Amino acid sequence: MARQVIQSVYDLPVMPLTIQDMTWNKTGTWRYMVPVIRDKIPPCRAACPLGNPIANVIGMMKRGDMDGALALLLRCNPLPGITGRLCYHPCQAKCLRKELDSPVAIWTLERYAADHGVVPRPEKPAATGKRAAVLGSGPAGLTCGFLLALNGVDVHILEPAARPGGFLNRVSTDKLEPGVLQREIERLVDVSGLHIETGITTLDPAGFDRVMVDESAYDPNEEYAAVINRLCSRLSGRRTPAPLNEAFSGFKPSQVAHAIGLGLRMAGVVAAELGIALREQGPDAEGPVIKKEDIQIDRFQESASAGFSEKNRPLDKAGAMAEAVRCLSCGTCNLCQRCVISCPDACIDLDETETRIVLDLYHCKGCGICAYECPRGVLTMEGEA
Amino acid sequence: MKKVMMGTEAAALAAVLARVQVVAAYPITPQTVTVEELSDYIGSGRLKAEFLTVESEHSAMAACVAASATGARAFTATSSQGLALMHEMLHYASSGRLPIVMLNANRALATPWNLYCDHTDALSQRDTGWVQCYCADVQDVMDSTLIAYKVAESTMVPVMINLDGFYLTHTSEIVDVPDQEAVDRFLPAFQPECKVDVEAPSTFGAVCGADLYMSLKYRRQKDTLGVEKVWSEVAEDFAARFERRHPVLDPYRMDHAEVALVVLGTASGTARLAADALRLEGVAAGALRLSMFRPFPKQAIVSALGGVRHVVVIDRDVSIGAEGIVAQEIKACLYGRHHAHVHGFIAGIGGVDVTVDMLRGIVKQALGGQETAIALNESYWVEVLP
Repeated sequence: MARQVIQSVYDLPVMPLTIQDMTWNKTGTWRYMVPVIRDKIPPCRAACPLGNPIANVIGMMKRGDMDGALALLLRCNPLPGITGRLCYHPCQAKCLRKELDSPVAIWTLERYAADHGVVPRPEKPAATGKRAAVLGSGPAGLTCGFLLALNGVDVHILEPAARPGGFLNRVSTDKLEPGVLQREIERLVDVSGLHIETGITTLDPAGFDRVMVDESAYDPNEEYAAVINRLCSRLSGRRTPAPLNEAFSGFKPSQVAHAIGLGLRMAGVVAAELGIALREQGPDAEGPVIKKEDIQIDRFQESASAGFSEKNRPLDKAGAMAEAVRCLSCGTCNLCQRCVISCPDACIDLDETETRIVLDLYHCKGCGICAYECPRGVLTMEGEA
Repeated sequence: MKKVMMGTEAAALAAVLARVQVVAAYPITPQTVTVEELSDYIGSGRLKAEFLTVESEHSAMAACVAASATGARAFTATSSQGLALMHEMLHYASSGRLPIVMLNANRALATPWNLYCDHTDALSQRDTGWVQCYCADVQDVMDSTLIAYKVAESTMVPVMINLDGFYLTHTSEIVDVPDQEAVDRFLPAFQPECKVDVEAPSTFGAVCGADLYMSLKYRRQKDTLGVEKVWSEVAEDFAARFERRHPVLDPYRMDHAEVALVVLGTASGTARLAADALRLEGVAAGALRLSMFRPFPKQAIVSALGGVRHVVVIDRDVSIGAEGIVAQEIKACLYGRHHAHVHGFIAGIGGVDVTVDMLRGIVKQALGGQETAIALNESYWVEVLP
């Protein structure tokens, strides 16, 4: 705009307003506290033996994206249909929704995503040229193999028994309906590209860079552990896995998430030994675990829906959506945009992709209204770096 | 169409006829009926407007300020303590040049608690830059509210329409309600020259240096003084359309009057009867109602007083520590321009009735010139304990 010389008050607008916008005034220099948008760890995720990004998964379900929810679950849990039926769901005990009415039925939602989501096989990762074998196909072995295969390792799961799944094959059918285990394992194989060989009686260790033993593999057949240990004993000259404890009686069905967690840790150790960097297993979240004081519980409304139930009844889509919207998304930005609306200086907005909140720190004065308005503890005021 | 209604109902109906777009108000006796009526009008869909329930009068005016800045026609109503609580925002509205129209039901300020008529609430706000009108009857409330929007929007100065608490807010009269089409022709939609606009962003009420601040004040003073002329023109236009006149001064039997009773609001009717009675008793009395108090219509008052020798001012208010506020203003207005004696009387505050006999007595007292208060040129308090 051309420079305007004011010669009379009547050259000015009748209202006392600036003739141009005020973006030249970089009011960000006034700031001594800065808003920081950072996802924190919700208490459900902290309580999950697998660190499932529960709020993110349910966030996708809220939007009706069941496939996306399942894909996200599969990044750190290859058997969500199993955990969604068997896990003792410590996540729900910590759900902050109980401060308002009752916890979100996280367990039931996980089951819904596993039963109804469809995941395309991810792009084949760049091959690392490494080969690994896992003795035993319990949930730990399957998980370890799944994660390594997703990261470009040629994984062979060697199972002495006739069927893969280890102790999951012996869970009563009222807890795990017939066919679910097979479906879950087929998806796991399909997604990761690992190989499962059953009825194994011999092992040629020469072709593998690393051989692991699934410690969760247990079979009441008293020869099972002996077979595994016999196979292990042939691994002379290589790093030998610890032999299976023949007295170990296996995980309980409700502890399946701990077995999967064991598999995640096994994969991490082996990847480090093989010099492979594992891809992110879930959305990043740092910092402290969200507490009820961090959540503005009075900004949420009580829901009429039933919520948590000890009975793990399967949901229909409407029921799943209705349950998903009850999630407070603790510590997890769900683009509610309360911060955008509340900023008096219009310094907060969605980015062009409309998937992220961005701050204009050239103009943000650090008033902190956004942090006050954020109902879920994502946006907080911190000292200037 | 003629209807029987109270002053509070007339104010609400006038806001409906003016097609206000935002109402933000907090109920307070004796204004409450206006807010209730508007709530009903909006709730039933008769008026397409946003009704903002707020937690205080300060917020009510803040909401009207924001609404008006976006170009919406905004209305609110309050009284007494509520008006006092709005004080800060009253400055904001007028200096922001936001043409809000507000009803104020004149009521005494606490403490002690009192719900009755008293003008100190509004007159305490005389320096906030709002146009102030004081109504004589229910028809005046209806018409002045409509005129007020047109004047406010053409001068960008907010207007406060004052109604005497209970005498006017709760008294029913026959009112000629104008047709909506006729009102629409008289008062077209508000089209401000500038408003909050995301396509052309600017900062409203930004920091302003000393030099420009003073110049902007000077412009506001000139524009606000100009409201008297604009009101007169708009009132003429209104009279041509609706055959009712609402000038800034409302004189009665002022021709060849030697004594003038100067009043605000509903005491006007009583003052007229007192003037009639005094004329029968041989005193050439007239009555002069100031329908506009801000801007103070100085020249019109000087002309209206003509050959008057005694100006008897009835103040339903007081500036504690000084005198009646209207008397002060009249004295300042006449100083150097007119040689009449000005006699100030404080009467009818906190709901005391102003009667014809009281006014006859006051005039005779003024003409006698015996009371100490008058000799000292201070306000004389009528009907108080010694």
